[in-house]
Amino acid sequence: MKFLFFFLLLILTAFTGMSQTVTGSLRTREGVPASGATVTNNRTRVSITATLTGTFAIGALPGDTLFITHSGYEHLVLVVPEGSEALRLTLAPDPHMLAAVTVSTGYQRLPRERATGSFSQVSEGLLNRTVSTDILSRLEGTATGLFFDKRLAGARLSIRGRTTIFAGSDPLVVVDNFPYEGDISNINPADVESITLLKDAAAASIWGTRAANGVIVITTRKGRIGAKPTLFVIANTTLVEKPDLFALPQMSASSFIEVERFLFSKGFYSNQESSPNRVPLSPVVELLIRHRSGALTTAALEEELAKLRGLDVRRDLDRYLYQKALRQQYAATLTGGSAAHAYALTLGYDRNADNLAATFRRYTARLSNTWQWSRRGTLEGTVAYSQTGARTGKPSFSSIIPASGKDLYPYARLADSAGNPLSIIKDYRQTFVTAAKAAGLLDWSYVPLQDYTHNDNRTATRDLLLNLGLTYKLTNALSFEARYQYEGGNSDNYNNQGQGGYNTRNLINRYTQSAGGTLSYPVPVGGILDIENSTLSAYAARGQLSYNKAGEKGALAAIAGGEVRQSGVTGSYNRVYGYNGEILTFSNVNYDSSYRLYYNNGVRSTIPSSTGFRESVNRYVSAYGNAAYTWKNRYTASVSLRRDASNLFGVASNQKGVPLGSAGVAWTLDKESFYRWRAVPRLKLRVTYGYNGNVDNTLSAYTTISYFNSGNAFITGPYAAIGRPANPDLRWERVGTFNAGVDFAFVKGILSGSIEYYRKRATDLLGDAPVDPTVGWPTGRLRRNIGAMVSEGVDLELSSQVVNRTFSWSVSFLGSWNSSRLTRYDSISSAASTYLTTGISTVPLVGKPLNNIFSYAWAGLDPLTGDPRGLVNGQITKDYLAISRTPVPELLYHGSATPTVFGWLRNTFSWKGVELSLNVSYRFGYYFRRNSLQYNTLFNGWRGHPDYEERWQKPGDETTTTVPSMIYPLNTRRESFYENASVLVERGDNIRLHDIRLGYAIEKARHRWLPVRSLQLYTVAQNLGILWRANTHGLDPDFYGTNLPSPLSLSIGFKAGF
Amino acid sequence: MSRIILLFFLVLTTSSCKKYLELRPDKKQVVAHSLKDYSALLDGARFINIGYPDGGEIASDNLSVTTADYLALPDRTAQNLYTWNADVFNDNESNDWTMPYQAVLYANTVLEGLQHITPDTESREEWNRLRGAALFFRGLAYFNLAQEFCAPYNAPTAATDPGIVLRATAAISEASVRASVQATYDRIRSDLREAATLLPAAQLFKTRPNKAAAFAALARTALSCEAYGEAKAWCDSALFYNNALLDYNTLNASAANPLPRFNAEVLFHAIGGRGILVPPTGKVDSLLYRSYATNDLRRALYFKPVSGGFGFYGSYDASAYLFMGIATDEVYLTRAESHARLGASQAALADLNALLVKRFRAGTFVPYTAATPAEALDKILVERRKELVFRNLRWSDLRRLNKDPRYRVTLKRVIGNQVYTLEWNSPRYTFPIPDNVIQRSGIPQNP
Repeated sequence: MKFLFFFLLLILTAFTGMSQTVTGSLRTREGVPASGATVTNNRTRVSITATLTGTFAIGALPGDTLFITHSGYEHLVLVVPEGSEALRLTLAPDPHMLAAVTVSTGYQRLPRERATGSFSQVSEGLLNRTVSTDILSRLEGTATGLFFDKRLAGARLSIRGRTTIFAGSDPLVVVDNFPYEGDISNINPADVESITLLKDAAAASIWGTRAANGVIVITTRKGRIGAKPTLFVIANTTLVEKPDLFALPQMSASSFIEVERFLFSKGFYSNQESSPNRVPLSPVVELLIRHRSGALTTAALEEELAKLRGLDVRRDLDRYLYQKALRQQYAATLTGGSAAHAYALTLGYDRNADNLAATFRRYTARLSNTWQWSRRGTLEGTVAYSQTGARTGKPSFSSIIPASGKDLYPYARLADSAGNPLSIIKDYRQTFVTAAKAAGLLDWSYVPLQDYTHNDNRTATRDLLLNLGLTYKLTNALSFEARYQYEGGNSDNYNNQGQGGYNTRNLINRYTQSAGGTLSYPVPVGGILDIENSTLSAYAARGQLSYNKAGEKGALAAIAGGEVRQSGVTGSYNRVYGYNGEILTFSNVNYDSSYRLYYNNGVRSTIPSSTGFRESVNRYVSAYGNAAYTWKNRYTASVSLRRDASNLFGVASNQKGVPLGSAGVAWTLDKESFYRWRAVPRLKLRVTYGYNGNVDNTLSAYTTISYFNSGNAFITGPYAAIGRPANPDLRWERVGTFNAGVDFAFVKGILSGSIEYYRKRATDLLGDAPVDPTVGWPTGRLRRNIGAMVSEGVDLELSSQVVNRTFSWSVSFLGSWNSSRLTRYDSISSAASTYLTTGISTVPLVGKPLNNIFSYAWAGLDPLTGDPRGLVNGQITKDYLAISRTPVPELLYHGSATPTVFGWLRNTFSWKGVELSLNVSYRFGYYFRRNSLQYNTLFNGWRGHPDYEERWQKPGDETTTTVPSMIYPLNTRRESFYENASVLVERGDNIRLHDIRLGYAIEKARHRWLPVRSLQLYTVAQNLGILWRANTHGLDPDFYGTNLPSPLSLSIGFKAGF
Repeated sequence: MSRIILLFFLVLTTSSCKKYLELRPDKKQVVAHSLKDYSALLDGARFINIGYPDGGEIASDNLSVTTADYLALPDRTAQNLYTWNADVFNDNESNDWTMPYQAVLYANTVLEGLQHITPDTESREEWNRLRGAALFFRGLAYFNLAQEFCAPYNAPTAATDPGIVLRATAAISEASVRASVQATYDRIRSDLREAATLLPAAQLFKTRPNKAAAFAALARTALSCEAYGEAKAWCDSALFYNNALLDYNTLNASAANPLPRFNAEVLFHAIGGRGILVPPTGKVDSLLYRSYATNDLRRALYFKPVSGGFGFYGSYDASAYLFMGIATDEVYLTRAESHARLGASQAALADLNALLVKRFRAGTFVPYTAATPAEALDKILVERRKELVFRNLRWSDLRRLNKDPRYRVTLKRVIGNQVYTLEWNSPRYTFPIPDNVIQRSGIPQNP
C-alpha cells in the first residue's frame, strides 16, 4: 500500500515537470479554506486543485503568472515572487456571479461553470429571507419555474409545470445524498445550508425514474476543515392574523330566512318533517312548523324571526374560535474544524399555535462530522434526530356543520350574548333530540364551542437519521466513495374522544337499543380511543467511483456507481370503546351483529370497527454513471445513464429495469480567444436532452383483491373486493426534456442572469381511461398508460445591481412561462360535464393543458322568467338537457387554470447595514370559475351566496344581473348550466405583494460596543395582499373554496454570531 | 484496502437482484388464486347482494309519491323514473346498469380463476359451490338487466330484438356487444341451470345461493318468457328443496319492520331500493292498499300509516331496504299461475290457497275457488301483486301482462297539474342505457 502511494507520488512529480514548486494557502474572505479552487500556471498551462484545507503546490518559476479561479469568487491573478515563502492568499467574493460555487446533485458536486444542465441554486441568505417552520415553503419566490399551488389547503409545489396526469407530481426531495423518506417537515430550516433545484434532464436524470418532476436537493450544514468555531443563535417570532372569515361567500340571514319561508310554503320540507332518518331542519323551519300547527302566533313568529335576521355566524366564528397564530423558532448552530476534522451542530426548537389553537412543537438536533484521516481518506458521519408533538385545536368553520352535506346556517349562534356556548342543529331534528333525552339517552346536542374540549387528539413523531460516507482517493484522479444511510421514524396518534364529545355521544346513542323503555348500549357508554402508529424504516447504500482529472487541455469528471434502497412502513391502528382514561379500562363490543339504529329502526348497522395493520416495502436497485469532459475550459460535453429496477407489483417491464439517460453540451463563449465582447464578460451556452421517469406504485399488473374483516352485516368472517383490474401493460411514465440556456453577465453587475427554454415530452402517462362501465367498473375509469403531453416554457432570471455605493439597490427578476398540452389521450369520453370543472383536478383533453377551464356559452337571462339561457347550434335555448349534451369541441375554451406566466420581482435596498427588500409576485394567463348562487346547494345544502341579492326578480333585471331567478321546483340541469356558464369564468391574473423584509446587520469589527461578533435583526411581513387583480369581484383566484387566503403574518427575529 | 473496496463494489453491481425485487410491496395486495380467495370475493355482499336495480319498482304502479315530495326530491333519476322520462341513470356512477355488471365482473373473475384450479376429491365440493354461485350471480344479474334494458320477451322477434351485453370474460379489453333478447335469455337459463346442478342444497349464509334459489330463479326467468310449462317444472324443483312458508300469524305487527330477515321463506337474500321508495316519501298506491282485506294480516304487517298514506315496512330485510332476493312465496305464486295458464285450475288454486292460509288471520281464510282456469288466473294475478309488492317483481310482471289484452293497463301519475301516462305498449317500458355506456361502447341505444 505504502509502496503504491510512493509510486503514485513519483509519477505525479514527473507529471508536473522539472520546475520549482510554489506552495501557498487559499482562503476566502470569510476565512474558510478555498478548497477546490483551481490554480493555473499560465506558462506551463498546468492546473491543480486546492486541497480541502485550501493549500496548493504548483510547479512555477518566479515571474510566472498564476491564475486562480474559484467558483463564486473573483479571479485572482498573481505573479510568482522571488523567494520560497509560502503564499497566503485571500479570495474576494464575485459580486457578479449568478449563483454560488458548486451545485449538488446528491451524487456529486459540480462546478457550476462546467455544468451543462439546468440548476437553480438557492443560497442560505435567500432561504432565510422569509420565516417559516418548514423548509420547502421558503423556496417560494426564490427560483424560476417553481410554482406553488395553494388553491387547496396544503401548498403543492411543482417545478416547470406538471407532466403527469395522475401519478405523483411532487418533486423528489433529496437531503444530502439520499431521497428523504420521512416527513420533510422534520427538517429544521436552520440545518439547511443551501438548496439546489435540478430542473432539466441532464441535471436530474441521475435520479432516474423518480426525477421527472424535478429534484430538490437540500444540503445541510457542514463544518469546514480549518475553520474557526462559529456559533450562531437564531430566534424569531411570527404572529399570523386570523383568516378573513368575511371573505366567505355567505347569504344574509334575512335572505336565507326568506328562502326558507318560500320553500316552506311550497311544501319542500314536508317529507323531511316525517323523515324516518329524523333529518335536521333549521331553527327557522322548526318555527314555521310550530306556527303552522298553531303553537306559535304570527306575531311571535315574526318576533323570533326578527331576532334571527340580524345574526351572522361568521361574527361568532371569528370571535369565539379563531385567534392570532403564534410561531416561535429558536435555533443554535455551531460549526468549526481543526486541521483534519470539521463539525457542525444544530439544535432547534419550534413552538407553534395556529389560528385554531392547535399546537405544534418540534425539537431537532443534527450533528455532522468530517474526518480527514489521511490525505486520501475522508469519513463523514451525520446523526440527525427530530421529535415533534402536535395537538389538534378548535374546529374550523368548515367542520362545524349541521349534517353531512349541509353548511352552517347564517343565523346560527355559537354563544349567547353573555358568551355562554350554545348548541346548534346537528344531524337530527331538535324535537327528536329533545325526545331522546327524555327517553333516557345521552344528551344528543352539539355545542361547537365546548365540543373540542372533550377530545384529546395528539400526534408524536420521532425520526432518526444516520448517514455515513467514506471517500478514499485511490489515485489523485480516482476516488471511491461508499455511503450508507439509515432512517427510522415512527409516528403515534392518540385520539381520545371523551364521552362528553358529540361524536362519542352520537355513536353511543345511535346504537342504543330500547326494549320497552329499558335501554342497552351495544356501543358502551364511555370514551372512544383510537390509537394509530406507523414506523418507517429505510436504508440506502451506495458505492461509487469518481474520476476527476484536470489535464493540460481538458478536464474529465465521471462517476459510476450502484445503489440499493429499501423503504418500509409498518403500522397498525386500533379502536376501543367505553374507554376510561382515568383508570385505563375499556369494554368489548360485538362487531359481528348488526343493530337497529335508535334514530331509525329501519336501519341496521354493525358497530364501526377500526382495527387494522399495514405493511409495505418499496425496494430499488439502481446502477448509474455520468461523465463530463471539458476541453480547453470552453467546451463541455456530458452524458449520464441510469437503470432502475424496483419491486413494483408484478410489472414485467419494470423488473427488467428502465434505462434513462441524458446528454448535454456547453460552450463557454467568453473563454474563446476570438471573444471580444467586453461589455459581457461572461457568456455561456448550453443544450441538453434526456429522459426522466415517474411512477405510480399503487398500480399492479395483476388483478388484486383486498380483504375486509368487517362491515358486511350479512355474513361473519372476512370477505374480499376486487382492488384493481389486471394491467399487464403497466409501464413507467417517461419524460424527455430538451433544455437550452444562455448564462450571461454584463460588466459591473449591470445585468446578469440566464434564459432557458425547455420542452418536455411526456409519454406513457398514466390516465384514467374512461371505460365502458359495462366491464364491471361502475366508476367507468381505469388507470392505464394512455397519455402523452408536451410542456414547454421559458425561465428567465435577471439580476441587476442598479446602484452600488454606500447605498445599494439591486433588482432580481424571475420570470417563467409555461405552456402545456396533452398530445395523446386514448379515451373517447365526449360528455361535456367531464370537462366543466373547477380546474383544480387534472382534466385530460387532447390539445389542452391538464388544468383547464371550459364553459357553456352564455346567452343571458330570459327577460320574461329570469331563466339562464345557453346556445345549442347557435340558437338561444333553455333546453338544458340539450345544452348538457353539447359536444366537447363546441364548449367555450377559456384557457389554463394555472398561471402560464408567473414570477417574482425582488427589490433590495441597503444602506449601512440596513437592508430592505420587497418581493412581488405576479401570475398571468389563467382562468378560474367564480362561485355564484346555486339553488340546489342553497335548498338542500344550506349554502347561500351573496349573489342571491342580485338575482333576477322582475323583467328588466336581466340588463343588470346574470344571476338566474329563483324557481321551484329545482331544475338541477338549469343549475349545472349556470354553474358552468361562461359568465362565471374570470381571469385569474394578479399581482401581489408577497413579503417585505427589513433587516439590520452590525458587526463587532465596526461597532466595538457590540457584545457579540455579529448581529442581524430583521422583521418580515408576509402575505400583504393583492396589488392588482383582473377580476372585478374582489376574489383571490389562488385560493379556493374553504381554503381562505393566507392571512398577513408578521415576524421579528435576530441572528447573533459569537 | 483496495481489494475490499473492489469486492464491495462488485457485490453491489453484479449480485443478482431478482430475488430482492420479488418482495410484495404491500402485504394487503393479494392476487386471488385460492378457493378461499374466490369464496371471499363472492361473499363481498357490498358488490353482489346490495344495490339491486330498483328502477322498475319506481316506475311501476305500486308506488305513489305526493306532488310536494316529488318536487322536493334531489334525485333526478328517481324523479324521471317515476314519470317515465327517458333521462335516467345519467347522474350517478352506481346505477341499474352498472351495479349488475359489477356482480358480473366478480362472477367472471371467479369463473376464470376456478378454471386454473383442478379440484381434488376434497375440494371438489367447494369448487362446485363456487362455480355454481358465480353462475347464479351472473345469471341473476343478467335477468335483472333484461327486465329494464331489453324489450319484453316476445318469442317471434326475440332472436332479433336487442338484448343486453353478455360478458364472456373478466377482461377489461373485451368489447361490449348487445346480444339478442333470445341469446340473453338463453344465457340466463344456461347459467342458472348449471348453477342449479352445482350448488349445494344448503348454504351457510342466506346471501349465498343454494339449489332451490337457482331453480326459483329459473322459474322467474321462464315466467318472464311466458314459458309456463318450464316455469312449473322449475317451481317443482325449487319447492322440492324448500317449500317452507312463514305463518304471518306468528308475527308482531307493532315491530318497526315485522318481517324477519333471513326467514324460512328466503332462498336467497339481496336488497336494493333508493330513497323515493322508502316511506314517508314512497307510499303504496292507495287502491292497492285498500285491496287488502281487513283480516289479511299483510295489511298491517306490510303497511303503516305515514302522513298522506301508507308506507311499506314489510321488507324481508327487516329494514328500510327492499328485499330483492328470492323467497318461496314467489315460487308458490309462479307455480299457481303456471298451472292456471296450463289449464289446471285445481292445482293452481291449491298453491294459491296454501300460501294465503298463512297470510290471513288464523281461521278466517276462505279458500279461493274458480270455475275456470281464466277465473283462477284472475285471482292469482291479483294475489301475486299483493303478496310480492315492493319486491322488484311488479315491473317484470307488467311488461309480461301487457302483452295479454285481458291484463294490460295504462299507468298514470299526477304531479300538480301535469298528468303523465304510460301506455301498455310504450317504448318507455324499456329504459334507456346510460349515456356514458353508449358513448364508450358504441352499442345501440334503446328507442
